[in-house]
Amino acid sequence: MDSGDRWYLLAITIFSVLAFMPWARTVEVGGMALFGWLMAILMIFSPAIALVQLFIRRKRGENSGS
Amino acid sequence: MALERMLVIFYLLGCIAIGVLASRKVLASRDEYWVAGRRIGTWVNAMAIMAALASGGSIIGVMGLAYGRGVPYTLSLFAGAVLGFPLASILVAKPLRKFGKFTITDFLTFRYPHVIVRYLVPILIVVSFTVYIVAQMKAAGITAQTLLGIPYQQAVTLSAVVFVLYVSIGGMLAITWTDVIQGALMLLVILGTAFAMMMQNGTPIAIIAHASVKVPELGQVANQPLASYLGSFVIWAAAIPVIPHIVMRVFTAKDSEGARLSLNIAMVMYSIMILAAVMIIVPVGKMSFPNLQDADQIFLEVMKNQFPPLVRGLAVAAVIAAVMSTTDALLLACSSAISHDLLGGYLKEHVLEKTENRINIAIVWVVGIAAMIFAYSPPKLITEFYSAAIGMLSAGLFVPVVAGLWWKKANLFGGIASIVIGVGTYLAVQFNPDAPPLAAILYGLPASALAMVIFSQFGSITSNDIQSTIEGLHR
Repeated sequence: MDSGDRWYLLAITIFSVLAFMPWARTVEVGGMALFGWLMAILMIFSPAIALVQLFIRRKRGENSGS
Repeated sequence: MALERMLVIFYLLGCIAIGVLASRKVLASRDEYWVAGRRIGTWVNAMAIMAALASGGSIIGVMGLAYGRGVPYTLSLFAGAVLGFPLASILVAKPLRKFGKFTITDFLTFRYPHVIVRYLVPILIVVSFTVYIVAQMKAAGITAQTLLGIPYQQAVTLSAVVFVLYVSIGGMLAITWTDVIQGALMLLVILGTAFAMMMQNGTPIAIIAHASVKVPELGQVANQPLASYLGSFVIWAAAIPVIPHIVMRVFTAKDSEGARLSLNIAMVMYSIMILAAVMIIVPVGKMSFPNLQDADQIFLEVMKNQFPPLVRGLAVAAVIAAVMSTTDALLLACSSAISHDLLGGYLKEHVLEKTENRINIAIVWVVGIAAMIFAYSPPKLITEFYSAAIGMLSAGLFVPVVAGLWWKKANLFGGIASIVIGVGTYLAVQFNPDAPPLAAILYGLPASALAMVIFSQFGSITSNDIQSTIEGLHR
């Protein structure tokens, strides 16, 4: 497995574990539990980072090939 | 309602026409029927994946769930689905695309060659996908009933006949073409509705803050046990890498890189759509209609009361598109589970490829009609209902697939045990009346993993042929 993939999986696992901690469910921000906001952030950033990572890898591959 | 009905009729006829056009190409070979000749481009595949996942559940069900159980609970379920895409992209997309067959059962029976795997896996797929299809049909039925005034059973029958027709004759190619149109329509309606609401009510943050004053339970997590939150998250995170109608999309990609890119692009579109629905449309809808009997009606009530006929017509078409884009993929996966996985060996030896594809058509009709009959008595909260069915697949298939690809010590004993014990544990907890909703996966998945580790210590090691093929998939 690519090291970038490994770091990515580790980062989203840690983020998910933190999001499910009890404090995230009790703290309220802007009318919604922090847990809800963290889930929303996960939904935005996990695809965005994965996509950026793929594009970077693709670019590197093209560079090395040229 | 004349304009809305015209729009929907026009749309349905378009789907059938696509099926007829595609049938000229696909009925000639297995590759064309099941995986559209493996030449679907990245962006088209991404839209098709997004549309396949964004079901009636993602429009009607997601909003019903947020309305009934609160925004955080709903986001935990859908964040799990979104997380499942990178997991699929990293863990299974490349090796499975290289494997180059048609279904997840093909891989599992290759990795764990045993009659139990060959028959149990497709049966699990058919059972859980039939439940999934029933939930989709409810979404189509209540939409047509509320916005078009068509009686529920007639609406279910009509939508079922249309998508069974174009799937049965058009195969994966028809599904891909219709999914692209359906995905675009869904994005247009959900994002358009959310945008119109933002113009009137401000940003999503302002909308949620405002809604929390009137309906504080919308933003709270207190109304469900933690196990349900975690369970809903884990079910979908583990399901996406192994769920057959998404995995079949991996097989349709031109190459493994295209498969990975499509999965991630699909995930971005899917996230944006779900967040717009849950964080804008639902809070505004809940403030306007705080006491709905059926939570799944929230989007329809918003459309019915706050938008003009043209938009309502588009909304009906979008919901039916969402239902169809998932159901057609589910039907094809179900059909492949029966005709390719269960009967495949016999058909390959005894009938011509063209005849085999005609048998596929008959199977799609049988599955579609069975689901339609079940859908006449619809379940409550469709998203929770079909998520429970998908949980069974996650519990039974995630560990054997991932371990089969990445763990050399995984052997036949471990594979069979992880499927049987994962599903058995899941069902035992799921049917316990005291268990919190969707929590069964928290027992099923670890049980499956434990069974894989323990039972792989027994029995013979995997043959060199299988090992070297698996190693080749990672190169």
